[in-house]
Amino acid sequence: MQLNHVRRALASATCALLGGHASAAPDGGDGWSVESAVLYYGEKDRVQVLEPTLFASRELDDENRLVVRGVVDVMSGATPNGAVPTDTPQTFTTASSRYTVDADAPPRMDFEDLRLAFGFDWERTGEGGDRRLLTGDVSVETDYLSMGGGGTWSWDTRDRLTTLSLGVGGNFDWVFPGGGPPAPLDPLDGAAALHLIQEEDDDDDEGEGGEGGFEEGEARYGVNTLLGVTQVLSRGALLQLNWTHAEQGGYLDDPYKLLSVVGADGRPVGYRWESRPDRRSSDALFGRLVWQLPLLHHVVHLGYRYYRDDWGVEANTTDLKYRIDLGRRLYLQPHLRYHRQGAADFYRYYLVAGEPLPDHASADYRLAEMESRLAGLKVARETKSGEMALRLEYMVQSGESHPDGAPGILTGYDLYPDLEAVMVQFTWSFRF
Amino acid sequence: MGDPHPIVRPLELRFDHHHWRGHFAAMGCPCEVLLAVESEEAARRLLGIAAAEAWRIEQKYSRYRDDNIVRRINRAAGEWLTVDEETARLLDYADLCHRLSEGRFDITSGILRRVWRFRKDAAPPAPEAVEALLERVGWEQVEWRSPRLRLPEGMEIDLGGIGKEYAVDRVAGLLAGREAMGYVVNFGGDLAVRGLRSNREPWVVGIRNPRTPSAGPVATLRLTGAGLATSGDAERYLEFQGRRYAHILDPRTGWPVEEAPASVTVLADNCTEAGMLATFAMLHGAEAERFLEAQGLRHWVFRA
Repeated sequence: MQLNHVRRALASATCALLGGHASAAPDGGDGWSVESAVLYYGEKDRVQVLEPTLFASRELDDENRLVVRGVVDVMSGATPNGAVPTDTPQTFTTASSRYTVDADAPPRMDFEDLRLAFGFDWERTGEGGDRRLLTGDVSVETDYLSMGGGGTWSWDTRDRLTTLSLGVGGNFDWVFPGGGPPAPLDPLDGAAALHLIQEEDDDDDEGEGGEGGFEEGEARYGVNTLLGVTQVLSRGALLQLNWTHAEQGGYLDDPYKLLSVVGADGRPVGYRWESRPDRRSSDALFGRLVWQLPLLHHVVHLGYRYYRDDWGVEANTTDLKYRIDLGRRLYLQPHLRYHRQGAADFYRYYLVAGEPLPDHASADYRLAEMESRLAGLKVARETKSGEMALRLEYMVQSGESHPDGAPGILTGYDLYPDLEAVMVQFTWSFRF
Repeated sequence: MGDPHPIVRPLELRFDHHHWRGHFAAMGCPCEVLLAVESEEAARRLLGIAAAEAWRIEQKYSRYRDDNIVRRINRAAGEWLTVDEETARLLDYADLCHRLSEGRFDITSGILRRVWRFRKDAAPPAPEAVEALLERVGWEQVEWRSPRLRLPEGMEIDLGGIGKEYAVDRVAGLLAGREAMGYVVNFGGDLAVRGLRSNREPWVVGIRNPRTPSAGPVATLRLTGAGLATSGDAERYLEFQGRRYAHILDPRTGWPVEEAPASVTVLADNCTEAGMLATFAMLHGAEAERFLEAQGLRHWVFRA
């Protein structure tokens, strides 16, 4: 028998037998599966982000799967710089910029940036059914470079009801703001004065030499570990528990955030750059219950996350999604989220002139005590080869606007204005 | 010969975390259909389509029934008979397989089972008994001018060697283009996989060594469009005077294939092709691995 011609002859005969229904993969599977999305994130009076993303995944063979990701963020707007408002215009002079904020206005810094990010996941299914996932990511902004990678190993118990996961990851980032990262707690004007002198000195040969650059950056790095258990509880009920521990080190400051130094009347006498510890150790416990309701077949996703770190931040997040099927391919999914967090130990609204400087201080609104509420709705339609979905979400974040003990005129200002944001995302996934 | 009686048996359906899992019995084996659909209603409809087709094929081609085309062909031995289009396609296929396997695959060989009893303590038949039956075996003696067939007197055909895999692919074809994002049709371990699970992941199929089924799978496949079939029966053989006789008979000799593997599993584009290549490999005995390697398909050969 001519061995290798058997299969070819058999394949065409089988096709004839099955009346043409015998092609290798009638429903796709060999091709790329693509998910594309465009997200608009807009904060009222603050930051706007337009974010197109593209995910493409492909089964390389029975055991290997590759996912490649690309994200572009077009960011613009104004972000709070940490200073408190006052009754006269305020001018902030830094090594790379100089901007003025109106009297009585919350001090914000205008910015524009573009972030490009690429990543991949490579998942390999072992002979025994265990899964090994390798990921790699790189992202670039004009003042920030981040590289990360990790591996996760998951396997099922004998009854396939329990999945255990073990992961480890790491990242290395490089922060290189214009003019170089400011020295922690340095007064702003001092830095600017020094910068001006430098510029006068080598005006001719360097031009914008004082701008600083990539080489003047600071490193930030981190490692994280993950332990996860996913348990099938019953028909249609699934419980997932993850514990993540992360250690970060290096330059953890935000090079654009500062604090006002206010006098007894509450008016600023100067500004200082923020300062954060150069280590951060955090733990997060995440639990999620996915439950398909009997009879109705609606699906409930209930999530809870507890977070704490050695900066003193403690946070609780509760998240609820409820999927309602409308007919065969259409579904609605309302979404509610409530997040509450305590402030970092070194969070301050301002520094007081004449008082000794603390080791660390930051007025970054993200490290303050605050709560946020989110409500949203997703409408999705399943297509032959994927899904089309529109997601609308609205979020309000609020904190303590009038902290106790604010001196002088500061009692008359909102020191933690609410943040309102809308998110609109259109997703389209398909195969080809 | 009675009128055809449609087969109707119970259907079972339950939700299994990521998909619906339907069960029914057909062709003497447990049949299972996994369906990536949202609603129970849709799952029940698709399961009904799958079972109806499996039962239709069983009714039409089972050799245990007296109301079908196989019985009619066997009764009409010695005379010309015109068969329907589907049966003609199956006979064309059997004809080609006979040629491709150089006579090793033969739908007229079922008659040999009259003398071969595959129980552990049974004795092999007397060589004369095999010799006598062998005269009534051999597709080359059959006159096949599609759609007309004349079976020599005393001969019988049995489509059991194709029927189950054919049913799997027929069902998979009927489920295509309906509301399921993906599905698995599994008739007693011969299966067709199409599309994706509800979580948009491929279907996962484990292959076990039939001799050590309680150990973990020897391979785990992630499939989106494939057929998988197994030939051989690790539990069925007979041992006589220190010799082990495998369950698979070579129709050219009437005796079991020497050094046949305990079982062969093949991954191909569809279940019928996988099943036929697995059968061919078994019929190649000691050469099973070499035969499969030449086909360039993934395969697993288990030997005792």
